[in-house]
Amino acid sequence: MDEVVMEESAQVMDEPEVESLFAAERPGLVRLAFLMTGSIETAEDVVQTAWMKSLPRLGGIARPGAYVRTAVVNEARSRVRRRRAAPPLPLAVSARIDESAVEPWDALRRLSLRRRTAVVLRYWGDLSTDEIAEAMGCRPGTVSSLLHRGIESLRKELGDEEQGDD
Amino acid sequence: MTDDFERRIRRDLDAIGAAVPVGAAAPLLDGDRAGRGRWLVMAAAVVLVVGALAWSLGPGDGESSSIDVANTTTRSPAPTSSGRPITTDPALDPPAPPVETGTHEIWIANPVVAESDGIVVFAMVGPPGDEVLVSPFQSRDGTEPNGGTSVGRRRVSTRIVRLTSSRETIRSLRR
Repeated sequence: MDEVVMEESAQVMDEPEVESLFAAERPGLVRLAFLMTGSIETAEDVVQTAWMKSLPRLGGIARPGAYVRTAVVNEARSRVRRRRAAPPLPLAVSARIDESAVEPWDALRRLSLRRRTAVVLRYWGDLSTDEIAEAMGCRPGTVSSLLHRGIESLRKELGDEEQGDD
Repeated sequence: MTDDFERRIRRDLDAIGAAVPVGAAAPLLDGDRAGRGRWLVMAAAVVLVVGALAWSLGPGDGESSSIDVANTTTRSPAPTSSGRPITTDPALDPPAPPVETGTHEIWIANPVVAESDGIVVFAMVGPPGDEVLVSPFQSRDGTEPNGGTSVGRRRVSTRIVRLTSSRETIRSLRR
């Protein structure tokens, strides 16, 4: 990710900027990590660890937000790599959403981690294919494939097979 | 192009993401305070290492620090089936670390991820400067009135590995 994120025009962030970035980005990063791992505690830990790992380098990075997001994705992937599926929604979350959203989560959590990550970054994070590729450390073509297969799996799980691809 | 199904996925993910309780953000370390944090970590590590050495090498309560070879020899029991004698003298065969059953109290301020000898604390609290008493070996999800607290057991370690808040102070670590 360094080649993509670190640019020659990198400006040095001062400490208040880093703290303000942390305050602004943290909620979204925790939610991203949760959607990848399915655990609130793991998500908080992932974000904390990713920040601590990123902190020494943030000063020389042109797009620190993207850098930390990539760090969070990597950290989350390292935590759940050996698990086949994310856990069911914890009560703290399921109690706060409409019941209709539980079924999509059950389908999403059974996707492979790479597909789930791509789907979350696209449909929750609104990232472009290139941005997802940067965050996941793979080629854009791989992202397209992961998204296609991920969405098709979700269609089958959720009974929406009549719709075609983009 | 996005179809209805993809819009549904987007909507559901938005709903799930928004429902995730996220504790209040708190400042990270800055230079000067980071220095203090590092000193805290180093001091705690030294204390723990010295304590662990003293505990593993030291005698039991009321005993001399020297080993009475003659005495331990006469009290050696019969060997086990593997042929290795069982030593019962704590000076020769220190007991295993006690099982953690109580609540260890650690005063913290702000987000702290700390691991110490058998005690693991992970806490996200706020606002900055606020101090709360957290107890390891409890686990709960959800948002606390003070902005979110998540306390749970992590892996056991013999060192403090991270202190991540701006003014974290471990005031006392009582066993």
